[in-house]
Amino acid sequence: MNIIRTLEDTLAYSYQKLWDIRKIAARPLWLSALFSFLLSVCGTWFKVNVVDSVTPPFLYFFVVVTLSACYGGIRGALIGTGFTTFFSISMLLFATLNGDFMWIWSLVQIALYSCLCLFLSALLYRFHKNEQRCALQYEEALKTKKEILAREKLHEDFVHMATHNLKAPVTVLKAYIQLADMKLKMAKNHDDLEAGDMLSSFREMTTKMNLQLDKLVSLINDLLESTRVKAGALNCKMVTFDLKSCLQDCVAGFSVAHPDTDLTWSLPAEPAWIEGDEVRLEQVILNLLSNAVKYSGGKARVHVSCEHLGDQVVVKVKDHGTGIRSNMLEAIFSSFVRVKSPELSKFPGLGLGLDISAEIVKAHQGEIKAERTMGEGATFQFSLPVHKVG
Amino acid sequence: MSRILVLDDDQELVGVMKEILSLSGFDVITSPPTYNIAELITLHHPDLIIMDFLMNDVNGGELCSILKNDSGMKHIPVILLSAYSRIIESLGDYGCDLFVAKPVDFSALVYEINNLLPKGEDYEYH
Repeated sequence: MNIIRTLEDTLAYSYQKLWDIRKIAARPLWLSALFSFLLSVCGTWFKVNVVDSVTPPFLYFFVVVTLSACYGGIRGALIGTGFTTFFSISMLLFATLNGDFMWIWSLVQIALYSCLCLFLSALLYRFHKNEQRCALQYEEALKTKKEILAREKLHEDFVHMATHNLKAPVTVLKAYIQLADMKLKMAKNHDDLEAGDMLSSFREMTTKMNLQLDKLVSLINDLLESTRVKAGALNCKMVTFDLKSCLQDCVAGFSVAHPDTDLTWSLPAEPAWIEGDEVRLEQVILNLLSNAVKYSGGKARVHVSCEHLGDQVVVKVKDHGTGIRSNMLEAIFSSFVRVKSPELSKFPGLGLGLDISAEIVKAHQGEIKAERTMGEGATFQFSLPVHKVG
Repeated sequence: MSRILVLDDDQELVGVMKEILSLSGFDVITSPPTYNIAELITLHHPDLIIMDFLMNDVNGGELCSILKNDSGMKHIPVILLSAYSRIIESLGDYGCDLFVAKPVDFSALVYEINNLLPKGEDYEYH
């Protein structure tokens, strides 16, 4: 068994080497035919004019077909055999005309060698096919493994980033609690505690702690929401409502909460009736607005518009912030994008807002996309089908 | 009074840290993150530096390496803060004197600061 295995290995190795040569030669099938032709002519000439024997031509014949097989697999072998047989017979007939009657024996040998060469070619071809199949399976397995590892790495990075972001407000909260504790210990008596400075100091601390808690709750909500959306548990209560007035309410509320933002808008005169979940779509609008402010840096300039385009209502939020790299325009709507982008990782948050928004818009048979304005920030837009009455 | 230089981009945390460390008896100087640490040291002469590991535009680990590879500054103890607990694995590369994971336990931090500061500095916990 070992000898057979060694022979198989040797054969496979030799074949691999020949196959490599074949690859280098860029597979010219016609070269097989050319070899056959030239060697047939030379070999027959050798037989007729130099050695009066039938053996030498068939040695070259064997070489030709094997080479042909290596060059072109089964097709190469067939072409090589065909051409060699044709030219050999031609040459032997030519020799017969010159009075040599060994051609019958020659034909028998040709047939035998042909069978042998075809068998060898088929064997090599099978080896090659098996090898190709194994290589393909190996490559696929390797690709899958790489994909799984990349996904795991991305997931691990996301968990680390999420932990980091969740720890930021917790760190500040813990620091304030420790500060409050220190101040309490420092207060010598009850009167000290009730002193104006101490009270205002505690009030300031609790306000800041409250803000940090809000951040924390928002991060946790994003995580929960994203998990729910990914699990397909996004429940939308579909009703017919006016997207224009929903947008007006969102913009008005956002303006009050962000008085520093230069927020402008252009809305259509007529209502924009759509069928959808008003609360969910408000979430999308507010997410786009808060992103516009977050990525603007300093005083944000944001323009919101709504218009009818055919049977669609299109809402656009344009900012003048850091903008988006062209290769990120699509990726920005997927989870974990922040992990892959060092410039985005500077901003607070988990980068799940757009992912959630995209899922909400998709649940409304709509489309969401980002456009890049050269050096002028970014425009996010989503379109939803107009509700047709009747 | 020992002087501590705090580098972090989270202004909220920097503010509260300054207050806690000041109440603990240290002179606290804060600064936005910068790679030009030599200038800060020349200006403030800190006895100890506390910096965050991951700051916008500045890597605390790299900054620590710069410090520890400079003969004029390597004697200053450096404490790295981070919410990324995985950086502990690479701490040896940066040469920091202490790593403190966020959220920070300030009483433990103050104790460690006191240990790292050159002897002769009296610490009194308030």
